[in-house]
Amino acid sequence: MNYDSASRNQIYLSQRWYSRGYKWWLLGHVLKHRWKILIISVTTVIGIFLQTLIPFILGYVFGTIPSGDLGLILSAGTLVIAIGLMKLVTNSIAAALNEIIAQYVEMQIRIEFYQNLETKSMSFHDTARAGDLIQMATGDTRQINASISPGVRITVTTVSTLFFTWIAMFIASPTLSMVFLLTLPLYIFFLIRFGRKLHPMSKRRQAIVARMNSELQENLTGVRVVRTFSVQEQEIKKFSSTLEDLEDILKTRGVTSAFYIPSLVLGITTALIFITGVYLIDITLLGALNVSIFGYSAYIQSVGMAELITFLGLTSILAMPTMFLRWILDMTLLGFAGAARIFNVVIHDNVIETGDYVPEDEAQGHIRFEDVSFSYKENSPLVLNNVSLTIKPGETVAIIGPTGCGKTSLGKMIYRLYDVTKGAVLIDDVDVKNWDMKALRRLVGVIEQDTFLFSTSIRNNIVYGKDNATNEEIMAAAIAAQAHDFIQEFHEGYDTVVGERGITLSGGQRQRIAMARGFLADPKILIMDDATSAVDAATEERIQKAIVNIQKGRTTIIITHRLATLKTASKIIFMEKGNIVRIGTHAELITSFAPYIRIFKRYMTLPPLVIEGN
Amino acid sequence: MSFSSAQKSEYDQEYSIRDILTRLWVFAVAEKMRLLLVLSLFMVNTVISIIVPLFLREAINELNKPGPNFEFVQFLGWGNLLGTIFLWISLYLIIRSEWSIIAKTVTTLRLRMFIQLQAHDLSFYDKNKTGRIMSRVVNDAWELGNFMLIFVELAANLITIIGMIGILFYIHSVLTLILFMIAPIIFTFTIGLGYLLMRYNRICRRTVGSVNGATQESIAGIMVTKSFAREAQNIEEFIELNNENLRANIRRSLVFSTMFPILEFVSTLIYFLIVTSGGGFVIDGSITLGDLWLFYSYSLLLIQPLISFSQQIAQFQIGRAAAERIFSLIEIPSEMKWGNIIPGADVQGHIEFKDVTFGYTKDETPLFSHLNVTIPAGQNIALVGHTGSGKTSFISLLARFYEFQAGDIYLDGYSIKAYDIDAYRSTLGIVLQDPFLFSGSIEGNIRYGSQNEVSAETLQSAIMSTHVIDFVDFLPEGLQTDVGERGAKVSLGQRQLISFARALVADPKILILDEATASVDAYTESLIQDGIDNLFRGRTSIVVAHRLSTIISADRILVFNQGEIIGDGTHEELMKDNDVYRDLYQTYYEFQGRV
Repeated sequence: MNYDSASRNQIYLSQRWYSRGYKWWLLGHVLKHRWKILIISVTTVIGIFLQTLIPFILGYVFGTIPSGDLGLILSAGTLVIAIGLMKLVTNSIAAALNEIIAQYVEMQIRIEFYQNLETKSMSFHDTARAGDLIQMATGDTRQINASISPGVRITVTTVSTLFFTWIAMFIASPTLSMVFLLTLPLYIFFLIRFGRKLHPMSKRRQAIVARMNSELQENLTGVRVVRTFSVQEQEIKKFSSTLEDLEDILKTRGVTSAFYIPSLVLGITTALIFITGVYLIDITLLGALNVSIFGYSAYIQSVGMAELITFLGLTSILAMPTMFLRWILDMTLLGFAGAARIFNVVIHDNVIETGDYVPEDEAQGHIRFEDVSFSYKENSPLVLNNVSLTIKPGETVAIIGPTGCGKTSLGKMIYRLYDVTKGAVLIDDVDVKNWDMKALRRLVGVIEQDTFLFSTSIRNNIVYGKDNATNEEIMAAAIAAQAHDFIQEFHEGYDTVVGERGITLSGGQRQRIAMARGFLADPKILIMDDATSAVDAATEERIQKAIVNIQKGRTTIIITHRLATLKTASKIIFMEKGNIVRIGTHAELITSFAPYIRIFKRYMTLPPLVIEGN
Repeated sequence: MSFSSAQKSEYDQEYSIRDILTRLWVFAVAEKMRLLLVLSLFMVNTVISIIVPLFLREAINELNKPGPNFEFVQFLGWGNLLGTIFLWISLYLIIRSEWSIIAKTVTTLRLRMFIQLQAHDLSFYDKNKTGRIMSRVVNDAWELGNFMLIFVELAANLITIIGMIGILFYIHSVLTLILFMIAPIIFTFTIGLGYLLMRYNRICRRTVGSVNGATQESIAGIMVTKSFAREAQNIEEFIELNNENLRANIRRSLVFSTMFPILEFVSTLIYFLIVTSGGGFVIDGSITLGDLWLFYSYSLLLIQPLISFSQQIAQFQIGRAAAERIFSLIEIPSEMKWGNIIPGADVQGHIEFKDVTFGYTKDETPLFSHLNVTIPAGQNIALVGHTGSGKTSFISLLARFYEFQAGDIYLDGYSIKAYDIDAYRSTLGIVLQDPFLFSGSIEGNIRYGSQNEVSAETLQSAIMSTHVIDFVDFLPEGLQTDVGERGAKVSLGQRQLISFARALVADPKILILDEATASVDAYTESLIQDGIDNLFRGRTSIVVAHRLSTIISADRILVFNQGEIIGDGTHEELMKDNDVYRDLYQTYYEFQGRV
């Protein structure tokens, strides 16, 4: 895999963090905040150190109470409160900084991901599932946040708590600390087992939830089809089997997480320490002694009441990190899973490299195809096969041909939505690969059949291609696209919000707004890909007239099967199976080219129009 | 994916707590064995966790005596160990059964909602956005599933709190009172913090909603973005949205991050009180050292239930809101009415509209008022008229997408409301202008509509007559090609052809085409037209079309104008005496006919 590429434009990380996999990449993002991490570490360690002092005080108090010195107890109490306050300060600082890091990392990763998506080529977007990408940008980044948010601090906390507590235990009672040490492997074993077992289950659970979501969404958005075919039963069966799968995994996961409760291991440890402690108090009542264990002689220090209490207090300190540790393990695993998914997208370059040619004067709009071949994927059939073609500035060219003949792909080559597989496309005698991408896309405007409008106001949708447009310009574009009239009928006119968050437009209305968007951008080369298919005949006729006005001085490529449009074209290109089979005007083709005649022969037999008075 | 869960819908009803509880009771009864088990296990668990520290108390008391009985102390130590193991077992069983209950309840709720959703007519979906419905099925069901256990946990917490405080009070009332001055602090603190978090949460949800929305749109509209070279600007806007979200998140997490340190401080306060006042009481002899230990361990054990207790109060509000949304969705009646006549193989396809009155919303003036028309079996009807004249609504009523307000529609003499709705619809083959495909293969989509196994021949003849075969042959994976979400990977024209084939394999008695081939390329369309008479044979067919050729070859043309049928006859008849039709024809002809 080639990790090194200059085209990836990270704004946060340098190249080296990308070369060793997703964990390093994530670490790189976290280490952006190394100063904050340092402060967190220092404050946390101070906090923990203070915390380990408390059991000593407690043990001391329990030890001195029988002596009855109230003054000592009071000063011990004051000490406890003082330590508590200091701990409050250090812990708050650490926690707040940690939260801030997590929020920043989430945002950094989301922006990096977004930026990467925006610059990725269309062939990437063709194969990627939109739902998946959205899940990565939203769900997975949140998972990463959730694992980092307490993660940094708790890692420091756990490690230093274990360290300090054990030192403290050793100071309190070397013998008892050995007992604790013996239970440690059990404790670690439990955590590791838990992580290992839970990880695949968590992944499966996420996968089934995603499946449930997409099934539900399809059912709801495809409601007309579901009703049309009365397949509700079938849909219910499908959905309920997904729900059952989810129920199963929730239960299995529940059983696993119920069994591994490390804080109870701790409870057992406490009980064992107590039993041993009491035994030790018993046998060392008269002072230290040597006992022989398996033939080895061991020195046993005398243990008193105070030591025992201190020790129990120290064990209870471990309760908190233990509880968190299990939780953090769960979170970290989910976070890692999310990071891995995002990293896999970010690391692969599917970016079209931009050239740097920007025309000095206004571009002409001269298009030339030189032996262009194209296929969407390697080893898949050629969609365009050795196509050569010249379109002169100001010409209006219509392309016609059966589905799958390559007419839409031909257009996409011009504005480099895809790169040619072989040959070259030149605009004003410069290969489109050498054009500055931004300049190229400004030069070429596209209005597609399958229009996409953003969930915002109609105005914002129209000005999408030209931000600084005046109201008059917007209106002129809308009038040309025959959209002005129906827009005016809405209560809020141009400020009406469309899409999922607003009103629902008909297919024809959507196409007309998209057309206004294309007209407003006023490109030198305009490609219209069956852009009026959902518009009724009368409206289309008016649009046609407007286009003729707009077309002046503009190179226009229209993919269409509408007769009226074909008649106005300066030439018609007839395509079939990736080849140009014929080029000519309507008059030429309708008289001499059989496939073309075939399309329109039905119309030739229409009853003639009887106009009144004739 | 983010859904704004809190939004209201118009069908939302208010439920009193009693209403909610009676509805939840049904679910509780379904799970009563497990719930009882959890409840009793919680009791056992609570009692054990109260008892375990008592062992240590006795032990310490014994140790503190001049000549302690070590055997007794050891015995207590083992008791302690045994108690902890029991605690583990009961906790294991509790968590296990809790998950079972949650999983089962969530599944049942989701399925109930899903089934109810399948019964609604389309006006429901016109009014309610997908995201909002999904949020109920996905998020609210989860909340409510967890809510089921809240009562059990609440009870267990109460018992723990009361039990421990009771014992402490019995040992030394003054020290207990001193210690539990802290309880109200914990209480007000968690509730106040919860309130603050909820407020900040709302801002965070809103800002993250816009971030998610922007992501979703950018991905869906990537082609447009690229065509207009807007990437850089999109990124800038996206960063701006993210910054807003970041600010809200940080504010929330700052509140959140002080929570644990403060709670830790509360536990230090407890140490302090135990050390100072408790120590004093030991010295003056009113309690023993073991009692002091008990105070220490109980107060540590009590912090947890006290916190959860106050959290559960907040949880209660969330659960109640979720319950309201879920039950509103389950209980909104479907507007559709249907009977139980099953149309057999002998369906003729004779359709009659009688005084049909219909409007999309009840308040507006209806689109159709007293619409009357009869379509004999086997006839081929073309519907013409301007946009918004009622052609698609006419079809929608026939397809039973919407329920009409008055009059009736008859199929073979029976009201269509008297038929079983599923059986009725399966006599219709409908191809819509805006075709929807499901993610999956082309073949899977074509087979989608058929209840019965589709034979290879039927499939083959459907893809031949709709010319799906022409482009499928060109795809590397042929019929197995994945069409993507909503069919996004194939062109609009191809989607129309596939959905046409999908309608044909079901061999419907009545064929309804709403501009079914509007986006299909001219060449393929002309091929389909050549064979269309074959497809119409033996079927009643109703076609909305802009294509003159389709209209002229129809047996009969209905001219729609503002919700009325103002013309009914053949092309020749209408040309003679119908102005609207003549105008329409003229436009079409100017546009399509002058070759």
